[in-house]
Amino acid sequence: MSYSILLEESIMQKGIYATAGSKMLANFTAPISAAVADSLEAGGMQIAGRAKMSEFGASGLYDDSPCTLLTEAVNAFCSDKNDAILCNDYTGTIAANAARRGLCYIHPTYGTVSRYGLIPAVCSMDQIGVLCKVPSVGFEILAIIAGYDARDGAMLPSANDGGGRTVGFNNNDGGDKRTADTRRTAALPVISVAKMPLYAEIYRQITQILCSAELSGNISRYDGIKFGYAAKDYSDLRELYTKSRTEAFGEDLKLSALIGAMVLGAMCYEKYYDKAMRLRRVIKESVCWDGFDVLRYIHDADGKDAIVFAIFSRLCGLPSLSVQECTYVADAGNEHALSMIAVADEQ
Amino acid sequence: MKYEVVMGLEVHVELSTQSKLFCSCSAKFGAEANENVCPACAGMPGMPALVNKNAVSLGIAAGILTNSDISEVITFDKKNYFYPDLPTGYQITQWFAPICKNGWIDIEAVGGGGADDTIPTKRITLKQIHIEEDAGKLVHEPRTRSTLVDFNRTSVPLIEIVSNPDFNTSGEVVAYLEKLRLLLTFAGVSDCKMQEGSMRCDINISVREKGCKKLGTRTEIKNMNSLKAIARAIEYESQRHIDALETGSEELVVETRRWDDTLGMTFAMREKEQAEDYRYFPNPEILPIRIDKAWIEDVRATLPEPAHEKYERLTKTLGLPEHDSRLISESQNLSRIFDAVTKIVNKPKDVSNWIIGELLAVSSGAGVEGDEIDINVSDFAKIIMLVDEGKINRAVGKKVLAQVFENKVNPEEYIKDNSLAMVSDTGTLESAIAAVLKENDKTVAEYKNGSQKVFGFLVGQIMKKTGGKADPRMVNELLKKMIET
Repeated sequence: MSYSILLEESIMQKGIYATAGSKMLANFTAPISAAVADSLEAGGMQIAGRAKMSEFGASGLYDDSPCTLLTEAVNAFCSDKNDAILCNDYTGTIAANAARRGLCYIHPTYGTVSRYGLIPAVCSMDQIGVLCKVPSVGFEILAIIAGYDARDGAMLPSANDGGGRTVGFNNNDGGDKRTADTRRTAALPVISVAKMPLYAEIYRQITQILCSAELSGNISRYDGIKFGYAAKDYSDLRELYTKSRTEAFGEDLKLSALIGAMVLGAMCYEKYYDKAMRLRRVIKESVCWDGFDVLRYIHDADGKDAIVFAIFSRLCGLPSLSVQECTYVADAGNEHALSMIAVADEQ
Repeated sequence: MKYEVVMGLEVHVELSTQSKLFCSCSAKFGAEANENVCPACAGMPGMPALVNKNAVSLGIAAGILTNSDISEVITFDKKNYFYPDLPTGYQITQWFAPICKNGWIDIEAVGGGGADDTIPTKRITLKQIHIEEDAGKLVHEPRTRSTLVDFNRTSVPLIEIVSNPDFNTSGEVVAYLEKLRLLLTFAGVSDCKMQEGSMRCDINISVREKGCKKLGTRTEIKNMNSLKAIARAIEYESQRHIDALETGSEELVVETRRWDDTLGMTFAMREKEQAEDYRYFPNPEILPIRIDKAWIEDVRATLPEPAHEKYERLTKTLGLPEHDSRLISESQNLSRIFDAVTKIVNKPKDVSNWIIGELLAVSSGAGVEGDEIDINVSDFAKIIMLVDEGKINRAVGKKVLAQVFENKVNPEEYIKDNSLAMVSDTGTLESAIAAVLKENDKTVAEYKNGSQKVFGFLVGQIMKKTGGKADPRMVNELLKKMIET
């Protein structure tokens, strides 16, 4: 079946504006097409247009105040005929939004969907996911865009790539264990109920530190010199940098640049960035998938806590499914368990 | 001397890869400005960095050549700073897990004393070698007071070889750089052309009183790209330190300095250029790379015989003269030609004579250096064999060699087409000799009066008459016979 799909403004289509929701890239025409755009076309899907997004997807990182552009995009999606929006929800904000609005967000395992042609924000968490109305449709679309792509150097090897990543390329943990979707099983997945973690606030802080650091690096290419927004009046190079970035970046991006520079600075690296990386490792290693396939966290009535497990899955690179009542998280590569639950729920 | 100079070196060497470090653009030097640029190396978003495996292999090669420990797992990290020649705003380098550690190189310690015939060696230890990407090039246009950026060099792979502070004289520094250049060019890791910027170095220098354990205040001279300038800069800078220590004329501060070759002085760079916090962090876009033993052994198998081992083999086993052996063993290209031709001709001494005597003369006549000579080795071998077999004489051989070198002719066809085969037919030679004797009766008389030296003149005349093709040995014999009868 052919679905109608929108692409977030950070997913490039050759010759079309790719703004990443930022004034900085308001005039930037994509030089290439993203792997997912090609996959969708090859899979007979219809790319119906662009979806608005918060600036570099950073809204919700530092506070809970809603982003107008994102809210508008979700509102429009709720009332239009499109089936899905592809987006890079590294902060968990879109997943939390979806839960509140009765939509569904599927966040795949880190390295499942090629990031070739995605404007990078936070490389250790960037992953294209699917915002959809019907979960089973979302999983169908995910199946089309997932798969190994040699143009993204941090992908999961998949069963049919002939072992493309052979020469000791491994994941961020230094292990070689990750393989996609290896445990397809006919039996329904076993669900374990999760409670709000004691240190939920720390999840948030780790995300802020890591995202700020990586964002500050990834947005430093926008300096007003080669492409993107350039300030009109300047007297020297430094002023061109400063004015261009000051005039074009919004509050969240300015915060990212400042906090990122601070946590990576020689004085603070160990205290903040390094510590956040260590804690991320501890959190990753804290889940033991013995005796169950899926963690289910049931949201509070207002759904405000939905973001916690979304953040958890992004920090750990694990697949997750956010729906109105709850967030499901599975082990790396086990999207299948999530899709079975989604389909069972629909029925 | 009361003082001791202590120096450490950071040497940047561009790797001889076909393509850049993180994209498939050509890494070749000398293209039109911005010819070798794609959206990825121009810093545009959306193209994940993919590591050039060959660059890692060359890094491993550098490690083997410098006796280094090669890391099992390497990472690539981001070094953040703003500069127009750096389109992404960060340089990808190896800060946390460099490819090589704890290497060493032995140099001939020039000026280090020792008996006349044995040059003592000094071991220079290396802290690490890491791989990183080069930045672009700024082209300043004074006329329009503007600056243009050329991204051809952006993301070209480099290694930075960081030594410990083991140097005490400029002679040692120069000997080290020459040795490094020899090792790396020989193994094809880099072409190490200082004039093209593919080898450049930063010198960390300090001066202390002899016997003092604590190092003096350190300054760094950046971006040196000529051996001559390096020696001069070290002499100047160490003297500046000594003067400051002795007279207190200026206070030494830790700083980065720039060498002005015209003025022969170093100058402090602006503070802004030095006080940078690079905010290093692991690049999450590039997964750590594991280097296993098999990879290292694969690289080792591709490395040519090291120059010093080749030198030993040429002098000791093959009995070639030291000078010739040095010339051949120090050039990877001449070594290759020597080995290939010797394999066909199996006369190492002849081959060496032909390379040193004829080939280098022909190539330098055409302005081509030994490393750049491109000659068909089987044609070269053929010429040597033809001379050896008496089919052509040596002078004609050299002429044919020039043609093979310049116009890539087939030697046998060329000899045939130009009737260059050696004339060794007694009748033809005798009539040529008779004619020369007749034309030069005065000279013949001189010879008969005892002047031996005119004999050579007569031989020359006969060679001329036969178009240079006569067999010189026969000419000698016949002439002697005929002139005395």
